Amino acid sequence: MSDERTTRRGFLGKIATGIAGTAGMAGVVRAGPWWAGPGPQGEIFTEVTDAAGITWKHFSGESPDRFLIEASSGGVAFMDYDADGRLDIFLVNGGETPKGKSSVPVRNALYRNLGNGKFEDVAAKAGVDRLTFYGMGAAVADYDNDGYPDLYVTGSPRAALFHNQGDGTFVDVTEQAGVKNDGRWSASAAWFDYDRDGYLDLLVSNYTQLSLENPKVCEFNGMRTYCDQKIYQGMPLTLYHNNGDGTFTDVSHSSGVDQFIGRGLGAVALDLDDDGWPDLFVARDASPNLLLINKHDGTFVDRGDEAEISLDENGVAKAGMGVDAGDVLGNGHPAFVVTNFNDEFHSLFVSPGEFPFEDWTRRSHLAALTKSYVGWGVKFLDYDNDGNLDLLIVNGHLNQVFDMVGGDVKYKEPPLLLRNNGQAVFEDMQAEAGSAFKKGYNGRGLAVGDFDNDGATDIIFTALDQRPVLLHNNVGASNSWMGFLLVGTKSNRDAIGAKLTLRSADRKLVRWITGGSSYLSSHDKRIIFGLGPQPSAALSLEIRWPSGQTQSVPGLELNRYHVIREPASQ
Amino acid sequence: MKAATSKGLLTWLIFANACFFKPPEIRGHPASQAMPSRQAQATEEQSEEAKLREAMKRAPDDPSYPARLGALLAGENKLEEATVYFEKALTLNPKDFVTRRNLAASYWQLGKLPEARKNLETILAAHADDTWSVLLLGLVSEDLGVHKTAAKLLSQVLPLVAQRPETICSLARAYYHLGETEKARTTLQMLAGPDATFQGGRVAAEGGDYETAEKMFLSVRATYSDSGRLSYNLALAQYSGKHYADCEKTLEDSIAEGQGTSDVYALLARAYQKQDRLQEMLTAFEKAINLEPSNEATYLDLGQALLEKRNYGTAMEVAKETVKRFPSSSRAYSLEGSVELGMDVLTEAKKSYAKAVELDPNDAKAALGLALTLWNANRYEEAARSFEAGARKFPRDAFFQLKYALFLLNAPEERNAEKEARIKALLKKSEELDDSIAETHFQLGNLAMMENNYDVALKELETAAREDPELAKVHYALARVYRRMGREEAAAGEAEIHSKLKEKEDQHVNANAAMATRHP
Repeated sequence: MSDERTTRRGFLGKIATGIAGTAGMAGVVRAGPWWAGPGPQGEIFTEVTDAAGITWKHFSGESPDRFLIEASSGGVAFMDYDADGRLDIFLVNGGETPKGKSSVPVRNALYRNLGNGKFEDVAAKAGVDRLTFYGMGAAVADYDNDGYPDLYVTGSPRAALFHNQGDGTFVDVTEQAGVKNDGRWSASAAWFDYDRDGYLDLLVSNYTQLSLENPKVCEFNGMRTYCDQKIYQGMPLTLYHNNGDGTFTDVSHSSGVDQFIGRGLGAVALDLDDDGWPDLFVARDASPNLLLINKHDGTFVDRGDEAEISLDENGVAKAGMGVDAGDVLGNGHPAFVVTNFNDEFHSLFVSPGEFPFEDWTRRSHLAALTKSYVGWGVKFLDYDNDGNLDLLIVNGHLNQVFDMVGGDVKYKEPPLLLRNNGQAVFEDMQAEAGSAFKKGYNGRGLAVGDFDNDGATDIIFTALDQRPVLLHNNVGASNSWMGFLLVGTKSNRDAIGAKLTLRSADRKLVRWITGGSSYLSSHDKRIIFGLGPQPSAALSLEIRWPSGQTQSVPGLELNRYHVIREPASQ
Repeated sequence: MKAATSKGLLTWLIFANACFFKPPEIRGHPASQAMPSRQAQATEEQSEEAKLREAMKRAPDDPSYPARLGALLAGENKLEEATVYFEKALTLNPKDFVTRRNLAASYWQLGKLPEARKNLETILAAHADDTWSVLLLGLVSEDLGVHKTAAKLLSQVLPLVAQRPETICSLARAYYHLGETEKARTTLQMLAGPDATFQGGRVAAEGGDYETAEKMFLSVRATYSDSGRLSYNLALAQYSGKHYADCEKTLEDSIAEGQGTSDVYALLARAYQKQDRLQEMLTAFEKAINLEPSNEATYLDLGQALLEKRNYGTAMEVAKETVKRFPSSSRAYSLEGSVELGMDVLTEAKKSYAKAVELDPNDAKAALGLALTLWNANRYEEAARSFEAGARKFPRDAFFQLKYALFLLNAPEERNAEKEARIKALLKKSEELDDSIAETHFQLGNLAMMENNYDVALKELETAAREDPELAKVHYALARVYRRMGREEAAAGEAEIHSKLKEKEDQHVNANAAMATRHP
């Protein structure tokens, strides 16, 4: 494994354009220009799917049988699979159902970022184009710490782990690694190092039992449609412990997570109680959300009830789909956003630093802004780099017949770009956000990442049976920013679980490198701090690595990515 | 006209206190004395009436004649006419408090409660010790819904109250309304005899004290003259007390004795429904309808039962048939609207409810259905207008006040102080009108919890749990309050109850239900 780490070092050398004389800092990456030119005037995000050459289309296998899985897939990941310093895009396809057949083979896409605004689909060459099962989501991480991101693809009735060989190809190592998750319909997955041994473990969020042989028949206003999710039996979570030798052990039972049976979808891992150990938030559909607190002994306890994030105030489990965590209020504590069904409102739980969390769904205006939407992928992102975490949510209904019922709920729904005023109160930016925010989609997966390295967070989201939508951020780079790529040495290489605190004269910004998040999707693992138009001159960064080690990083340059390597010792 | 009070009670009220009321010609008439035969009495009254009318012509300024004529007419239940003569007598002699009391008693019988109260208060201002007026004002107050005053006044004249089953029942009813169940039960123990006990059972049932009702009905099962009526009321108490199997047995026994009326089968159907025996439910409803095809209530019950079971297809067929058979019925259109609302056919639901409101603008259920439909369609402004108008039009409808509060509570916008106050006022009003609705107490408890007022929250939520122990969310809220109060063990207990109840609820999710959401 140590040889593989050396390989990663070579990668860092390749992307570094300068060296900062800071202990532990391996290099600084300059932001690149956006070669596609400016977008339409005033548009925050410009759709560049066509310009990028992305032609792949999702296939859901929609059929008269209305299997719930037909309405649920669409994972997407930003990942630099070839370690060239540019984010590539992996798109997970769904699959066929008995009466929902595709005229062409159902295949995934791996779009290699060519660095000139174009992407090239190399999925077949890379060996990740085909699945032997119905595909759902993607979770990307360097599980063997060799410097190359690996790929876990969830689905039904199994999942797959693709090991990145470092030569542009992947090998399916599912069987030998022992992470097949056989017989289950898995949705989102989260890489995180729950025992802090330096190797990333894997939490798989399983949804419901699924039988393609026996479709359930449900009607809505006389039309066949998807059944109430509550009639499908939920599944337990799966937790795989990384043995550090390329194999995993299923510790679902010994860790206690298999007792949590329900309809799991989204998951995010981070240290929410600031004890240095990563915890988990699992969003579940019509099952109580889980807040699994790490007990430091390889087991977890659900404190969702105590935190009051499990159920709504009527004791009812909402239809939790996607989830993300971030310091939305600027108080140094992680808040959680969870996407739900229409009229349930997408939830915002703000932490006052102790339990219970405060439900800010109404106070943040999220209720009013999301009442008509069925939400899926969700991410906190500071799109304008003003230092406040904004929100991106993709939406889309399941029932086509909703267009006919006479309400304001539609089958195809627009994504939402919501700007945070700094007090965790959101404003809909639809008017300025760009044309993609004025169209309806059956949105599902959502990933964020800076694919042109300009310091502004870009977006890609998927939609059922449609092409994905790649959006370039036109405004983030107009404010100052600072980006960080963390490289763990004692900690896992991706530094998933790290907490970064950036201090200026008048402000403290806290970010976490999370595992999982959103819905079925995986993101740029770099952290960007937005600093506004006139940032303070004195900026310092403190990192708490997943290993527990803390590191202070002074003398930082603005508008640059900084690669920071975990010190061998302190 | 008051249907529940017998002519006997009025006669008693007017004539039992004959020491105050001594018309020379009809002295000796009071009910306590031996009565002549009906025919002889009628003849005597006609003769007496003619004499009094003649006397009035002769001495128009003598107040005793119209007073006596009024009393005579009241005795014959000619109440409207009686009040004319009482008023005439009082114009001539305003201080004749006996005649004023008779006038008040007549007004009470005519349902003119404010007039009755006004006259009684006039009497008591001058004669505070007039126990008959105290009694009468107690009865009037109870009918006015001023239960506290009723209980206070009636308990002051217990010896008089104890003389009549109607007055005993009135006092018991007041106690039930005040939540003083034990006092109500003690009061009902004063009743004796099968008829009175039967009436007492009905009062207990009305008061939600189904246990007492069941006991009282059972105690006169062998002696009450109308065994069919008794069985039905017993079964109704058992049903309301959620003793569905007992209810079913009572009704089946009744049917076996040849008392299988439409009402009996309809209640049996509802008992089956509660026991999830849907096929038997449908059969029983069918029998009920066949026995009395013109009874709209049975169709409505059937439609509602199917709706509750989310059997929308059949419920819609029933609703359509009900509308066809009862085309001028607001309730039929309301049923159709509620099925359409359940099916999320919101445009149609709006039409049906609008028709129901057009047919009967005073149908609170239809008005509420319309507001709920607009809410479900996320037409918040229209829904808000409908709720506001309905809350003003139906100020005595506890359910309407509650639903409006729920609408405001569930609105997506952040609530300001003004809206919070409005919600609380609506909930308080709902509670004041009907304190047996668990949902109202639950919401008041939740609001108190949000204000960190845990003692009030606990009190409200415990009340909600008593009113409806099966309401899962109440136990969830109780767990939250206990947790915030540091009572971890109690919180865990409530959380477990909540979890079990939710599990039970989920088991009842219709296997063919489509994915959709609905407002409360």
